[in-house]
Amino acid sequence: MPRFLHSLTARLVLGVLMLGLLLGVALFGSVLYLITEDYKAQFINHVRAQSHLLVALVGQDVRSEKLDSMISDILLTGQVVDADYALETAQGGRRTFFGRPRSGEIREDFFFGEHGDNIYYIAVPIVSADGARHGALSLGFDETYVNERLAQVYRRGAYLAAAYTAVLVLIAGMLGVYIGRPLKHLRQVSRDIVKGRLKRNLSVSSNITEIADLAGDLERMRIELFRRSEEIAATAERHRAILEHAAEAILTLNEEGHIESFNVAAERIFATPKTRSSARPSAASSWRRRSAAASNRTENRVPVPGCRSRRCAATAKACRCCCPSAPFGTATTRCTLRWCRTSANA
Amino acid sequence: MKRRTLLAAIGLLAFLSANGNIQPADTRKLVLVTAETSNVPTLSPEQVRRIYLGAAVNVDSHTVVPLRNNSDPLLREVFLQKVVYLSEPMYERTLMIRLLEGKGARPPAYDNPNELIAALRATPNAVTYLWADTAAATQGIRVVAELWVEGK
Repeated sequence: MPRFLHSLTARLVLGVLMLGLLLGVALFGSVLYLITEDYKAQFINHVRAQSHLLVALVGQDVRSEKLDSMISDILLTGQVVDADYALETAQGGRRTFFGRPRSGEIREDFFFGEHGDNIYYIAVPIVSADGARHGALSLGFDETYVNERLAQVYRRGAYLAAAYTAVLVLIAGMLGVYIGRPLKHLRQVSRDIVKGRLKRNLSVSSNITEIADLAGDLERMRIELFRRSEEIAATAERHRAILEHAAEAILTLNEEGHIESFNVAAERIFATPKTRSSARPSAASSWRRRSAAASNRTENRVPVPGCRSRRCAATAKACRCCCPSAPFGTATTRCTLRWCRTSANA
Repeated sequence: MKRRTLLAAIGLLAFLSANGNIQPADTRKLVLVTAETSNVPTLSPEQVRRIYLGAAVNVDSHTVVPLRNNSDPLLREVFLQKVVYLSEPMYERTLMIRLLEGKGARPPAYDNPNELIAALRATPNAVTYLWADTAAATQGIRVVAELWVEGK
């Protein structure tokens, strides 16, 4: 699971999911806020305009019978759930209540949802055509319908946000697979190159520029590696032929003093077949002894066995370390033989 | 001593009540005001509505210039509910339509009460709406209409 989380597909999905959530919250939040405010403003506008229209109508003929009839009619629609009016007539004041029973005076609202009673109360003066005030009409408009509509909008918004996120994740997943496939192919080819399988052509087809460029670079690298490995092989073969056919004895030893290779001339000079001597310490010692003797003969070197005194017996100079395969005086960490020159210029 | 103090308090309350100057602390009143030097007479609610809906209203051969007070959200909503009977977006839309049709001007709106009062004093025949206590505390203006009293 952690490995999958570090993959390109998972990273893409997570990134898109985060971005989607961030943008989604901001975008849907803003849209829902605007819708909510618009619904509330429409409701308030409806309430105010309706109330004004109603009192304008009432004002033309201010009679309690007409008011009763109009309010009963409004209550039937369900938009107004509570109403009362106070009328000052020639016969005196009269207050009539409609709708639900209530305890105490109403509190007029100026904002949607004010007072938390789900009713928007508005009070309007009853004014006759001549401008005389006859009383006041209070109407309670039901806010529940708007609240239900808003709840529906929120619910649908949530569904839409979920669908939006799901589509984003799906697209991100597909994009991850689309980008990941050629990258996997590239990885496989790179492993082949590391293993030395250089002859296989690299064919990664991708419309993504970066991947196509990477594949092109890798292919050029493979071709160059292939060319160089061919050159190295040819050079090695040439060197091997030179060594094999040299007139002088040439042999190589590893750090432990084991013989790694020697040529035909060495076979001839030391009278030992290659099969016996190769990579054997005993054979190496033997070769060293024989080589030392040969070297001593030719270069007036005196071996100091064990080099305990570290002084040359002939010249009393300090011994110099030497490996049989190296030039005289070349110090190596594992040198077991020491020499001293016996010639005058040593 | 206590009895005398109580009687004095009752007497003071009775005096204030008789003069009608006492009001509950939370009773709000919205009034229409103009500059003291202005010629704007008392206006009816319907006239105020027409003025603020962008219609040109001439009173005593003076064109009344409305100024909107946006310094207090509650004041604005009370004005919209009690004077123009519209919601804010619809009111803005109505003004814009009238402006685009060339049938009226859009009343300038002020968020800062000091700027509003300054504009009221500087503009001839300008009117605006304020809370009654604010109007009473402001020098150089007078009330031309009572637009709303809480509880009435």
